[in-house]
Formats: sequence, C-alpha cells, structure tokens
Amino acid sequence: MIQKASFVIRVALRHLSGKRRQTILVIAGVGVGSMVMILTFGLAGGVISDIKSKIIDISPLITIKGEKVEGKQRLLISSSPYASDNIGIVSRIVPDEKKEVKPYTEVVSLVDALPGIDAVSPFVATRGVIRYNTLSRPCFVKGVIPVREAKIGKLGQNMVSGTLDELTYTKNGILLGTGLAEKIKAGYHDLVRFTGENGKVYNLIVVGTFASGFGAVDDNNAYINLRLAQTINGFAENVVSAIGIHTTNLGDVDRLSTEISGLTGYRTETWEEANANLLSLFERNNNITFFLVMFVFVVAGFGIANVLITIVLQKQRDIAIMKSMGVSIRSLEMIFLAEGMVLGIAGGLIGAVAGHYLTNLISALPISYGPSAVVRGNHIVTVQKPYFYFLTFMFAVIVSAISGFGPARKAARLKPVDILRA
Amino acid sequence: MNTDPVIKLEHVRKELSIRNGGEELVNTILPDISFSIGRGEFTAITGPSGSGKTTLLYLMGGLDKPNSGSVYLDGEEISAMSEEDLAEMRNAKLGFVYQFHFLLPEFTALENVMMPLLARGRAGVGDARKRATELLSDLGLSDKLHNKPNQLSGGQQQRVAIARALVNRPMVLLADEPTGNLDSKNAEVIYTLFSRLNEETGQTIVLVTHDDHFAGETRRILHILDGRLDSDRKLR
Repeated sequence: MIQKASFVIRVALRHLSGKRRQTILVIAGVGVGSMVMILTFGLAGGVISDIKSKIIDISPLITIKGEKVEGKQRLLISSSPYASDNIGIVSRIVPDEKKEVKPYTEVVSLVDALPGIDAVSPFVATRGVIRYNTLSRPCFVKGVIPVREAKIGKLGQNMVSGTLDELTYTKNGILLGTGLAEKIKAGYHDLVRFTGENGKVYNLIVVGTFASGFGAVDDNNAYINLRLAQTINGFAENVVSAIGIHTTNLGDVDRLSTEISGLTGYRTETWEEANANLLSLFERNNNITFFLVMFVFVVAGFGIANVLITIVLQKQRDIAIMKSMGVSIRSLEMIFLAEGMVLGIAGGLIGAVAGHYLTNLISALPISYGPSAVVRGNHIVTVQKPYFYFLTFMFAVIVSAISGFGPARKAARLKPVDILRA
Repeated sequence: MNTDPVIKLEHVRKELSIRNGGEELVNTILPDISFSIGRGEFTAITGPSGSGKTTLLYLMGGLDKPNSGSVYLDGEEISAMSEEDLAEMRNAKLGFVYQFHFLLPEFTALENVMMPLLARGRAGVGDARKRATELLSDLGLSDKLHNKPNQLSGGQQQRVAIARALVNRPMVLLADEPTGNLDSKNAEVIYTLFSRLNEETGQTIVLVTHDDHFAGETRRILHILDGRLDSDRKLR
C-alpha cells in the first residue's frame, strides 16, 4: 500500500518536474484565477462594508423615536360596572401629535444606566431655510448637546473647520455640512440667517463645517445647540424629538434596541432599520456581484480544466503503456489526481498571496469618488476575510483535481490497444 | 523442451469496426484461428502487412479482446478477464516490446526499467534498482543508466525497452516488430539478444516480424495470410 502510494507520487512528481515550463504555466493559470477570485470577493465585500462603516460613523446605532409603542387608547363601550365580567371595547388611536420624547432627561438617565451603552444623545430635528448673502438653501437641522453627540458618531473627527467645542459655548452657533456651506458660499465665522418652521428668522454664526462622506448628508444637514432647536420647534425644555444611542458592541444592537423599547415605552429603531433603503440597494448590488463572482469561478475553472485536460490527453499514450506493463487503473487515476492536486495547491497558494497583495494595492490606489457620489471617499474600500481564501483555495484544488482525474479515469479504462493503435 | 502450452488460442475471431459517417464498416481481421505455443518456445509470427499478426499478438497479451473464441495464458482464460485483472496478469506474467520503444520520457533508463516492479509493489525500490541495473548491464547499457530516453540512440532505447519487458521475469515475452525502427546493425544486436535469452534462460518469446532474416533465427514460424494460419514450420 505504502509502496503503491510512493509509486503514484513518484510518477506524478516526475511528470510535473519533467515538463517544467508547462507545470509553471498551469500553476500560473490557477494562480491568476484564484487571485482574481479573491480580488472580486474583496471588492464586492468592500462596497457594503464601506457603506456600513460610514453609516455607523455618522448615525446612532439605536434611535429612540418620539412615538409610544402602545399609542393612546379611548374607551368606547364598557359593560355595566355591576356585571361580573368587566368587558370594554377600546379604540387605539394615535392622534396627530408632535413626535416627542418627554421628559427626556428621565429616559436618558434610564438608558445611561444600562450596561453596554456607550453614549446617549438627545436631539431635536427641525427643518428650515438657511441664507448667506443672497444664496439660500433648505436644510435639515439637528439640535444636539455637542459633548453627547460627539460620542455617537465621528462628528468630532469629521470636522473640516472649527471644532465641536466651539458649538458648545456659542449658543447661536451652527455647524454646516461642507456641501451646504459651499452652496451658500458661507465659511467659518460667517453670519448666516436661518428661517425656522415657526417662520422666525435667527442670526447664527458658522462655527465649523463637517464632511461625513455621504453626499446627501453633507449637502443638506447642519447642527445647532439643543436649546435653540427646542425654541425653534416650540418644545418645552424637557422635550426632544428623539434620542440617539451608541452601544459598545455592534452585535448587541438588536437586543438592546428591544430592551430599551420595553424599558421606556418608546419605539426604537436600529441603524439597519433606519437605513434599510440604502442597505437593501447595496445588498441587491452585492447579489449581482455574487453572480459575477460565480462566473469568474466558472471562467477560472474552465481555464484550469482546459490546460490540465490537455496535459492528460498528451499523456494518453503513456497511460496505455503503463497499463500494458500492469499499472492498475486505480494507480493511473491516482497519479493524475495527485498531479491535479499539486497544481491546484501550488496555484491556489500563489493565487492567495497574489490576491492578498493585489487587493491591498487596489485599496491603496488614490481613487476619489467626486462630490456627487452617494458615498464619498478617496480610495476603494476592500474587505478580506479568511473564508474568501478558504473558498478560493478549495475551489482551485477541487477543480484541478477533477480536471486531472476525469480524463485520466477515461483513458485508464480504455483497452491499451485503442490508444496504441491510433 | 517442455511442450505444455503456455498460450492457447481457440477459434478466435476478431473484427474491427470503423465508423464512417453514419454507417459502420466491419472489417474481419481474424475470421477463426486456433494454435498453441509451448513453454520455452521461440516463435515468430510472419506475414504481409495487414494480415492480422499484430492483432494476434495484442490478443495474446490481453491488450485487446476477441469478438468470439478464447485466449488462454498459463491455463487461465484471459479473454474473459476484466481490464483490471488483465493489468495485474500482464504485470505478473508478460513483457512487451513494441516497434517504438514507448519509454516514458520523464524517467531515466533505470527508472523506466524499474517501473513494472514498483507499479504493484512487487519489489522495494532497492531490490528493483538492483535488478534493473543488472539487466541493463547485461544489455551493455551500464553507462546509460541515468540517461533519459531522448539521450539514447534508437538501438539503446530498444534495449532499455527489452530490459523493461524482462524485469519482472515474465512467463512470455511478446515483441511487435522490435527491429522495425532500427538500422541493420542495431537490429542484429537485438536478434542476438533474443536468441541468447531463449537459449540461456529458456525464455518463451513470441515475436511479430516481416523480417525473414530475423524469423529465420527463431525455432518456429507461424505464417499468417489474410487472418488465417497459412503455415506452421518448426526450424531446427
């Protein structure tokens, strides 16, 4: 048994080393196929992970919405108070009320006490028109407590000019998205006029600009202090429109979201639910890419199979000779199976290393997506996961092994004379 | 000489079908042939080309199967064996020499000769190397052990092929025009080698040739004409 195995391996290795150039060519072919597969995986995975990381950078992981889970009930009919069963019919109505969390300080301290919570930031969302000189733009404005908001996302790091601290001590300060600032041509320490939903005009001073990476956010959003936003919206001091929350662990988001909802009675929304539109678009994009990867697999597989099958066919006569001297069918099959596997393993390993460096190279290229892109960036984001390498490597080895084994199996089963006579 | 038959053919019929477009052309190569070959015999099968002598040899070696009739080797009916059993039988009992040397190009002369012994674990690498070296030295190739086939002359290649056929001490050595590709000087070396083998070791040899001079060196000539046994002459 061991002798037979060593015979098989000897012959297989000799075939490979005998035709060195051909062997190198096949290994290179398998390598390129594997490399392209790893790169495709990396690029496809990179798109969605880029989107996700940018969303996480700018938005809360959980938002407590200003809507009660229960809604409000009104008793319509009830049975007589003297009856044995107390049956009542209620209508659950949600009146057209302002969405608000009240009193927010209580909710904030409730959530703050939960383990696994990093940051809690109450905010008031409002809309209005911002104007500088003769240029004006409608915009979304978020009233926040800057120190709290800083911990939610990466607003602090996203600042292009000015600082978050300056907003804290400038009661009538405003932070503009870079796109918004450009559109009204306002800069640091310029005085802008903001018309709120209440119709009143506020004079605000630009204390900084920020760039989140999302075109839509940078072009339309601004931050002011919570108190000012409350005033504009006509909210009392203990009222906010929602509360943003950041958890220590991304994996705990769903569990904590349900927990917080139960604890506070307000509806909660996770970042994935809030961005379902955008994410589903990219998920769909990813599905398409997945099919493309499949085709790359198929193309790479055909390339590998093609060369290997040719090699085995060239060796058909040798197969007949070995069989005529008594080499068993099984040994012949094993010889070419081993050759295929050696080529697959060598090519797969080289492809994995090359794929790793190529993916790194591509993500290091300075390619910028212009200001009109949905997601802005200055390089291509790629992802590399162990299972990409595992799948690719297994694929290379399996395709190579089958391509070696299949035609050899056929040739080994022919009568030797059918090959020798031809 | 032991006259116990080592090869026996009984009413062997062999047809070759050639597919030509939609129709199948059946060409009867051997209509019905019977004969036997004893142990230690040195037999030549002669005949014009296309007479079916090579087919006959392939049938005797189990490289091909008859359409009807039986082929026996050492008392076993090889025409009824599976491909796998045939391969094992060939390894144990037969040695082949072809018109072309058919050496494996990636292996040295020594490795080519060792291969039948290693293929089924019949011998360890050390023993196989020893046996192959002896044989090649006997055939005057002691200085070519580590040459690849393409580094050998035609005569040397054929001698390596003969060594390979003999390495597992076969019951029968089957040769298909072993000198067909050689010049007369090299052919002469091969003739002498075959005669010596038969005389010194009693090796049973069946060879196909259309070289009358070579056939004359053997002990028995089976002449085939149109797939029939035309004559069976014992020499010496």
